[in-house]
Amino acid sequence: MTFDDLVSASFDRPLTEAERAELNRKIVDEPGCAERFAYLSRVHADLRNFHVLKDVAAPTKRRRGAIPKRSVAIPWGWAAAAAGAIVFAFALSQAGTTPEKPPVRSSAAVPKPRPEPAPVVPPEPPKEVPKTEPLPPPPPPKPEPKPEPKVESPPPPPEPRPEPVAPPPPPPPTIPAPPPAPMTTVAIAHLAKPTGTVMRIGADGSVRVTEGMELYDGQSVDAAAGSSVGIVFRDKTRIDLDASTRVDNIQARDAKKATIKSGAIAAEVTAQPAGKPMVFATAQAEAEILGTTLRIVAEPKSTRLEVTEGKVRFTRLDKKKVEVAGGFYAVAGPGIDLKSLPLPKTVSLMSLAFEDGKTSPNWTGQVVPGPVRAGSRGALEGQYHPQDRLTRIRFAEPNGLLTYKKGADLSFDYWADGETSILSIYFWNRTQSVSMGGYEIRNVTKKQWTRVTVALSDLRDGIKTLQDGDLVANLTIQTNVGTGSLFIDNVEVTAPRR
Amino acid sequence: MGTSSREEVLRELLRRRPGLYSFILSIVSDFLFAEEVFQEVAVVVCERWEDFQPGTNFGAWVRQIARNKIHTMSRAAGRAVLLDPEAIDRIEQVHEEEDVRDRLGALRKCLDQLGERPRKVFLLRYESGLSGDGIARRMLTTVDAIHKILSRVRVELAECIDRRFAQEEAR
Repeated sequence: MTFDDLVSASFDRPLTEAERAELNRKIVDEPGCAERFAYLSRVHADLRNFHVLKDVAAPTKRRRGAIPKRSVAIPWGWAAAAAGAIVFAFALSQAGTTPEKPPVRSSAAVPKPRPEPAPVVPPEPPKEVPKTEPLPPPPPPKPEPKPEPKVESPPPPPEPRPEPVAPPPPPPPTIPAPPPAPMTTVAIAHLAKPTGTVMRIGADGSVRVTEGMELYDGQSVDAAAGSSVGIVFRDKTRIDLDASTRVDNIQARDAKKATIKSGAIAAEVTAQPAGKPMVFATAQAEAEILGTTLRIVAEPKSTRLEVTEGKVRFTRLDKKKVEVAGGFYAVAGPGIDLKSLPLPKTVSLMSLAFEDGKTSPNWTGQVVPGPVRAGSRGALEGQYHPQDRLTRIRFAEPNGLLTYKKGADLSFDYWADGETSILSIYFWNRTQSVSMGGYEIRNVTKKQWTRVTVALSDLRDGIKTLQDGDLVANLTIQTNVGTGSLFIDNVEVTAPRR
Repeated sequence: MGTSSREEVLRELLRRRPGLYSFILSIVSDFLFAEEVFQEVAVVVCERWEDFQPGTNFGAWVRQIARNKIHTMSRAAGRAVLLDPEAIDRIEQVHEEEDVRDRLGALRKCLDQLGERPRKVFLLRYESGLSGDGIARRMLTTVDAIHKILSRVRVELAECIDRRFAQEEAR
């Protein structure tokens, strides 16, 4: 392995002890290695920072030869704003995703089988089967018996053999076959305002979504944690994907349909043609929308429908139905009473209750039972930092913690003891590349669970404040002094429902 | 920096962010952890800006803060770092003064010149955050092939950026 390869490997995977030792040794002892390491590290960091850039040029100009019909050339079209409609969010349980593979063998060897209904000596690929490869092992010269006893059977010997490939007529009939395939060259929608990591998945694989990218019938869209994107159809119907959301098999050639596999979506559905309601399907239910603004959140064991405006017929898998009007919501799931209830006034951007007892490796702190309180099994205990003489809790996720919406508040329960009298709160705004904080909770109550609410807009860096759509990468809550304990529970970030 | 005010110190820190982040990342080799370290450095600089002596090497000052933070944070988290102290010393010795040129702009142009396949690997690695394994699975190839592409792409991009700057300076 060259030094460049070793350095590059260190960027992409944990090195073995031997590799790590060699890397360090070369940096220290071998002339030029330290410079080379710093040189490549700088590019590695540049590439990491590069993701915040919005406009990455299209690759089409680099393609050689074939028409880029499968490459999904990025048209860079812009969509007009959609008319107001209902926001419908689907959150579905997360499921593993695998990009669809491109269809195999679209045409090539078809003519061959046609003339011969027989099992066909030739393995599919070879055009001129009889003479050449397929079973070459024993007899290179002769095509007959050994490899293919069938060849000797009555049908083969006569004419098919000599010129089976001859028939041109068959090919034409096969050509019509591809058109019926799910993919069409006419876009059904375009993708708008992607943030973070969003992928469009189709027969040609997965492509990173950029502003204005077209969406074709049958394709899927996947927004990673901390990401979001809008799907805007030709009639201005819009679906907004929340973070960690996948929507599969989006169709619009006739009635609009989509399957929300996991996550949450909000939809503004313009009036649909009579008899062709837009349909969203989840694991537990199906919703038909004629024209409305709604939100669907699909979780592993339940689906929640919220209707802001209009009316939606919500059908559970057992066919029980409820009509949910604007300002109401319903939840479908085993053991849950399907009924329409009034909507709360906020949407949740982040919610952590630690009831599963699991500590994310990206957090600072440990989930423990914590000081006793009714109805709660877990809390996050802060970690003491002796160098700084404070106790800290931090939440972080590789792709971001949440996307800020205007008016969002942070609420949490805390329990503290010891010398501290202040809790400080700050976070990393990845979009603006600044640390925002300067917020302190003073007169901290001791040894009792206390709930606080903080407007995220109060956390700032000088005059810089959070902007709508900013990605918050992490959130820190810490004491100001001393060796006391700090526990946090029921962390929520909510924003006004729009 | 001839004079020092909190605002000037913070402005200088932000100006040096790319180089400092690169320095931190080269030591810890983890994006998220590097970001956390940088954030902590920013907090320290914000709180102790008066400790900086005008006329001294600002870059060296913040790098020392970063080294201290890496040490304390990695110990607290039980996390190993890539480079030993001696190697970090060597990296500091060769660290160039902050490159204020438009590296990301040059990088963008260099990325345009990548072939489709390496470009796709780059996007999956740096934008989707997939590991070599994940990329290999998605692209139906081997992990070794992906690592080779990543290694080659990085070198190509680094050299491309240098050529662009050289061309601009020659004008």
